[in-house]
Amino acid sequence: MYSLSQRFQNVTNQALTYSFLIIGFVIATSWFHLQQNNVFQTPVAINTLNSNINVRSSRFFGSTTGKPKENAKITFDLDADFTPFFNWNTKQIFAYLVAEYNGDEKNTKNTVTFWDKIIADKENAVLSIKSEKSKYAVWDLEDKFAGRELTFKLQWNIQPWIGPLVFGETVGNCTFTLPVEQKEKASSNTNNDEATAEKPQKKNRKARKARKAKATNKDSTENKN
Amino acid sequence: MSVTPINVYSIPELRQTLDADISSELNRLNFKEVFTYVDMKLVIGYSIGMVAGTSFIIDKNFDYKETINYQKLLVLFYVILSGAFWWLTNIFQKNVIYTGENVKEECKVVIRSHFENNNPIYILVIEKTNTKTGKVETINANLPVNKVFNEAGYLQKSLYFEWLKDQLEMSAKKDL
Amino acid sequence: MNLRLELTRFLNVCFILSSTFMVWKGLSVVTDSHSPIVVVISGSMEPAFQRGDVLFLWNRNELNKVGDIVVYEQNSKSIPIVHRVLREHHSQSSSNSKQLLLTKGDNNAGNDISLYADRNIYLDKQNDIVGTVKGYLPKVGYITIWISENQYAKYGLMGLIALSSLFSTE
Repeated sequence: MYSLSQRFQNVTNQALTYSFLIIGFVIATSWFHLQQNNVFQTPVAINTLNSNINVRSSRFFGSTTGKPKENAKITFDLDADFTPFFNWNTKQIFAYLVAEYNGDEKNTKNTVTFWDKIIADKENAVLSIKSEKSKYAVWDLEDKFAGRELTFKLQWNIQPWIGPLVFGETVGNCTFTLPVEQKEKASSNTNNDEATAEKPQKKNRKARKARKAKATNKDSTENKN
Repeated sequence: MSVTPINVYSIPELRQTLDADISSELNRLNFKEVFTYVDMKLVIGYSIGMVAGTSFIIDKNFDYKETINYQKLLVLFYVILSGAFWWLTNIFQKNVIYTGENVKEECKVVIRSHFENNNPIYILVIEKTNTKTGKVETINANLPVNKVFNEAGYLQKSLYFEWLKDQLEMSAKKDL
Repeated sequence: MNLRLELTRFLNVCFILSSTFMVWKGLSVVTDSHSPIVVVISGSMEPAFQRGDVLFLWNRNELNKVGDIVVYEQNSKSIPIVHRVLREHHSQSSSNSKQLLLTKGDNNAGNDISLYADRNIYLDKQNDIVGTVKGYLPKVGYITIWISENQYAKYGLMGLIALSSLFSTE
């Protein structure tokens, strides 16, 4: 009743249909599990303890024009339990601590990450972090960052073994204003520190530029000659 | 007898052989095949190919952002044409293997064929229209395939011809 | 020799090639992304994504959120990169909807500034983002990596498709 090519076609069709069914089943059950465990209402306790601001002039710290940029780091406490997130379709949880704030001079809305963590298994899913330093030094679009009111939130992303990526936010946030006074002290301090560190660099750069300029001048004059 | 033997246990092969042969048998019964819908399908089919080809050439030679509106249009054409092709093959002309006209007897036939549940019985539905009176008559004819295929897998054309002739004539007698 | 029969048979080959391409183009139009499905080729997002994983993209969103995994490409010649959004800045006024993004690979120590073209320190959502990752299929993409890195595999597969369509009996 069958030819070989038809049999091959039937087998592949069937294999595809069944794998789609299985994938659908996996996605549905893991979604159901997440809903049952109420993961979208996971509570969190964030406490921002401290911050410090450094002034940097490198492109890798946000300064494109050569003007110094204020780079902020924070110290924070954090408690959250990600254990209920783990089911048979959870490959990892990516938890990240973001701060939302509005622009100062410009009318912008901004979200920046201060810290993040990959949670690979259920055993390490309870986060209980005390006075941890933020992973990233954060600058704003504007040169000044101090004085801004930041709203800290812990957000998460479930990376599945198969299917859609799930994103969400834990309940409980904390606001923290980057202190200005401290910044003035800190920035003047760091200014001093960095001034010494930075000056030779600048000098070097200037010298290099000058040398380059000379070289090109030479070239051009030679060409003229 | 047909030129090549086939595997008589394969329904698709049986069907293909019987479908392909019907045109020449009906020719002997003074029917002339009408290719309107076959040609229509070919035109639509190759238009689909052309749309896809154009899209491919544009994709390879030009920038994505500049040509996105043309691509949207081509995708729209492709969907419409494919829909038309699908409707033609799967609904309007479903299972139609032959459309023909007999000027002498003043009739037109549309023949559909299929197999049911992999049973080796070739089922023909012949729709016969009298061009003069406009009277439509439907003939259901079942052909157990072992009547026209011999053991070696050759189609015995003479038997097939006789059978087809019987089916058509039977209806003609009923007409009287 | 029946011309109509030959043409019908050749049409089947045409259909296989054109439907594959047009499904891709259709997806691209629907998702508004020039490559709606990508295969991961580097390990910079490990352990979330490994080489050979298939990602499904969507690009009709006006703004990206921090935490989104995006595929970006700064000029059409460069290889698209899959990384996570670390920061986003956008204007609140409706007239100016430009969004700036900073990205980082989960498996990389630092952000992507050194990868950006023209000494940029941000990506432009409108121009640089190919799409945001919405769905994930593990490992299946190894076939395409194998095909794209092995010429014989490529031609062999194309030949096989053509042959099978020629000999297929509906």
